[in-house]
Amino acid sequence: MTILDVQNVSKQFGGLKALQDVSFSVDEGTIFGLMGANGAGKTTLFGVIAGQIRPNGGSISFAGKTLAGQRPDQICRLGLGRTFQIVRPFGNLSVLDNVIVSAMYGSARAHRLVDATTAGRQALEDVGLAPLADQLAASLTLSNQKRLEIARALATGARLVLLDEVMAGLTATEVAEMTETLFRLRQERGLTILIIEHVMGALMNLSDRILVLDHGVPIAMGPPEQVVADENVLKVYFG
Amino acid sequence: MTGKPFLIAAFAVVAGLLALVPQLGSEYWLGVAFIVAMWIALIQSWSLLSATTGYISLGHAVFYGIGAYVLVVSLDWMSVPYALALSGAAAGLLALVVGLPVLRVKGPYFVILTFGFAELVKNLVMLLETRLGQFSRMIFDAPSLEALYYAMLALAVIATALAAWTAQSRFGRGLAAIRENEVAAEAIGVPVTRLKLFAFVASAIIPGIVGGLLVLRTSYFAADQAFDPAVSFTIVTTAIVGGLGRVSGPLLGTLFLVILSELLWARFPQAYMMILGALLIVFILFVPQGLAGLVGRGLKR
Ligand SMILES: Nc1ncnc2c1ncn2[C@@H]1O[C@H](COP(=O)(O)OP(=O)(O)O)[C@@H](O)[C@H]1O
Ligand SMILES: [Mg+2]
Repeated sequence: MTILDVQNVSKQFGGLKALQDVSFSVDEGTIFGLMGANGAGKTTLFGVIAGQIRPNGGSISFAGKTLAGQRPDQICRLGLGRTFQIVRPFGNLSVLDNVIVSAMYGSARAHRLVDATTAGRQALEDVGLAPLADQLAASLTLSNQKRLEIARALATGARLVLLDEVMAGLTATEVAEMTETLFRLRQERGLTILIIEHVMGALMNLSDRILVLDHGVPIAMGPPEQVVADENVLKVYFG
Repeated sequence: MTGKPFLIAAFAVVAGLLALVPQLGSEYWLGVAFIVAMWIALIQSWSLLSATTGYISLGHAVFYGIGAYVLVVSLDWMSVPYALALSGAAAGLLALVVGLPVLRVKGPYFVILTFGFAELVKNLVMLLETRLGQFSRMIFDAPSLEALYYAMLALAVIATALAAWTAQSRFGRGLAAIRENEVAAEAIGVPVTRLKLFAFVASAIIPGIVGGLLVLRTSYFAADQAFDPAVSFTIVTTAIVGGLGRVSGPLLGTLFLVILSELLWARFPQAYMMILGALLIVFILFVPQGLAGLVGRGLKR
């Protein structure tokens, strides 16, 4: 069943065409990868889906509802969470408090502190941050702040999470661990994941399907093995 | 967690002692206690918006002033309690109307905008009063100082309780997320605009009533005094001296301010703004956690 449907989305920044007529759909419970060089428009696409950026054209629906004109907080409460490539921790709050606000305000709607704390601790557990729960978020290393981004998106109670280069800066072992974690979350929670990753191998491993963007233009889409063999992709990536 | 019952007990003792001040039978001490309660009410209210979200309002005198003006005008038509309620409502309504545009800007722009707005309203009221041929207004048959004091003390207690409740509520956590990172807050479902506006309105209502009470106390209204920007400066300075983000901050700040003013400013009133500025600089640079932070560290040892 389709959970996210993106149709003919375009976005221009002044004269720059950051996204041109992008269409794809994501099935519930799958992992969908987004590939493309720096500046290809991947992060912009996340912003458009999650409501931070208003597209110039096209339509997006999530779980059967159109997202047109909805604010980011409304979209989040529908069950869509996202991380930020440039991390945005609530620096002066503890790691635990970061995820508690998420659980209180997101689609989880855990208004009571006890419920929000349970949901928050679970999310920290999921990404391996539980031992650092009481530290200030600002004091975390960058890779842990990326984990916190994931935990905060999970704690909202999201059914679909958009992960923007969360593995950047992780060691090979950590990448393998994170891959395991994401598989497990899909398995246990039926989570759907839309993921941008520069670590090619990891993306190939994780994704059921991959979309490749080049200067805002979709140039290939399909299962990983098909995409890496695509001549357009080979041309862009290997000249 | 162990600190919480202790704090609540401490607040209750302070409120209880303040409630006993009229028993002293001294007009002087009652006047001082009135001022203490006034600053606590003003600063706790201001903190509801500014200490929680980091949107520093330098224009809170506008709510105080509009409360004073509404009271003095409406006394012709209604009794004191209704007029005071109207003062609070007018201040809240003003915040609601200007909140949406003003809360779109952040940081120094917000500070300047709130200051500018307060000056604008002050001048509009002065113009209006001049047109009406009113250079100042007097109030006769105002309630006794004792009655006014109890009302002011009630406002101080309510504002403090509101600040304490906010600190641990879902609402307060949403405001903290806004302070830390507005884009991220919105992305996790915090209705940023609505929460900010709500905090702004909540922080304006009590100052409106406070303005009304002060006019009853002085029995005299003149726009340039009621909207005096020194009130805004004092609120911000005292809040920072006391320490932002702790419910005890405004209490300690007020204590400090009132003691200082009894000792110094009664004798050197012209130095008021200078001393305020110097205090602000010293605390921001050297005691960023304020007096509440110092006391907190002292207690831990
Ligand atoms: N807010 C913005 N204003 C102007 N240009 C932008 C903005 N955001 C992104 N861009 C431009 O759009 C293009 C796509 O950026 P981005 O989506 O961040 O790419 P990616 O995430 O694939 O590296 C880049 O050329 C970038 O400079
Ligand atoms: Mg990017």
